[in-house]
Amino acid sequence: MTPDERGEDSAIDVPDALAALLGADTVWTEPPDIADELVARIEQEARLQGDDQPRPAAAGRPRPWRRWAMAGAAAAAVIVGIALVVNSADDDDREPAGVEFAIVGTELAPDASGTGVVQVRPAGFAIIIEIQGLDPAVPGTFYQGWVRSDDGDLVAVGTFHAREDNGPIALWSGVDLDDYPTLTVTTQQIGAGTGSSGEQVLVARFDGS
Amino acid sequence: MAARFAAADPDAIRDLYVQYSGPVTTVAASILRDPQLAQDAVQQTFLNAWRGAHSFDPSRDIAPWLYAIARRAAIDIHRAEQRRRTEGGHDLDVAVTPLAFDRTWEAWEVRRALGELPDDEREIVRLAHFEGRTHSEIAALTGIALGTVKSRSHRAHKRLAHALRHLVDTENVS
Repeated sequence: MTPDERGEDSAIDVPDALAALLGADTVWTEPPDIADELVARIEQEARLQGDDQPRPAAAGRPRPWRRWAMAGAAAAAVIVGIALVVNSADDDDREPAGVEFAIVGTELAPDASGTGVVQVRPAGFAIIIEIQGLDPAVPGTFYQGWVRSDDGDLVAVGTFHAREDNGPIALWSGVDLDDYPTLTVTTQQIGAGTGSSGEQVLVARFDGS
Repeated sequence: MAARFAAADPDAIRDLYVQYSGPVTTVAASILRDPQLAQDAVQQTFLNAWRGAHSFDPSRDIAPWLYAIARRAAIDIHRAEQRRRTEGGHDLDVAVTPLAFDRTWEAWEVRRALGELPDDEREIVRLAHFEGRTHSEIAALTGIALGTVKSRSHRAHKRLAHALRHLVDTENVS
């Protein structure tokens, strides 16, 4: 009941609908005190993910895959929750069978995690990932994998919806992963164009940096 | 502010949060009646805004852009919660249709208008409309003279009527 309804004078006539909104608890709900946490999360994500603007792939001189894998073996360390293990690079005369890496969920998919392996194939680099805890893509959306260079170039590596099971997902890269050491997966809207939505659900680094 | 926000400038993030966390919270709470889910939606809104800041045109008003992100974040959480409960065999007590776009926009605008009131005037509006108190009760409760309560109430409602005239004049508040 407003003052007007109790017979008190008020020079301003408040429409009933506006009065109803002014009386709604949602209009008076205090915002959460998360400014510091928000700053920390954004700063962390900025450091981890960098610029996510899709741009044409840079035409840099490709470096040998083996050197990238061996550097990864030497660096086998966990940095910001992302691990790198080179499981077949101890023989310098042998091509690595695959470089394993860990995948972590972002704030959009905090329960998601997984592992992956990169394999050199005649057609390019096969990126095989297995994910747990990632919700199936809701109708009208799909997931898209990207590899990204450290200066922000994005290259699409395949799409999936994860609606049937949690089996391995094969993504393919035609660019050298020495130059594109970050893997991200975004949620995309069907029909919204070919650029990244920026809504990352998964992220990983191949090189452990 | 938008450019500094996109660059993850901590001060810009805080400034944006101070300015818009209220309306974002109102939209989230209007769609998600669960306070914890609403809080998640608030945080998700600002994270998504930062992630999409590169697509924002700084020459435009940031409020409608942020509102759309807030509404989308809340609805996504709403749907995810519905799905989780359906799969878990729980009651669908959150299986309600989120408020329509114009209703949450009205709530956003009202919250913004309230946020622009001086603290003392906003408190009188809160006591009057949210707690349903009379001017006399407000005067007794706050220790402010009745005449002062009435004059502050008058000024507050006048400011609100001006700030929300685009809603009231067109009778869109429905």
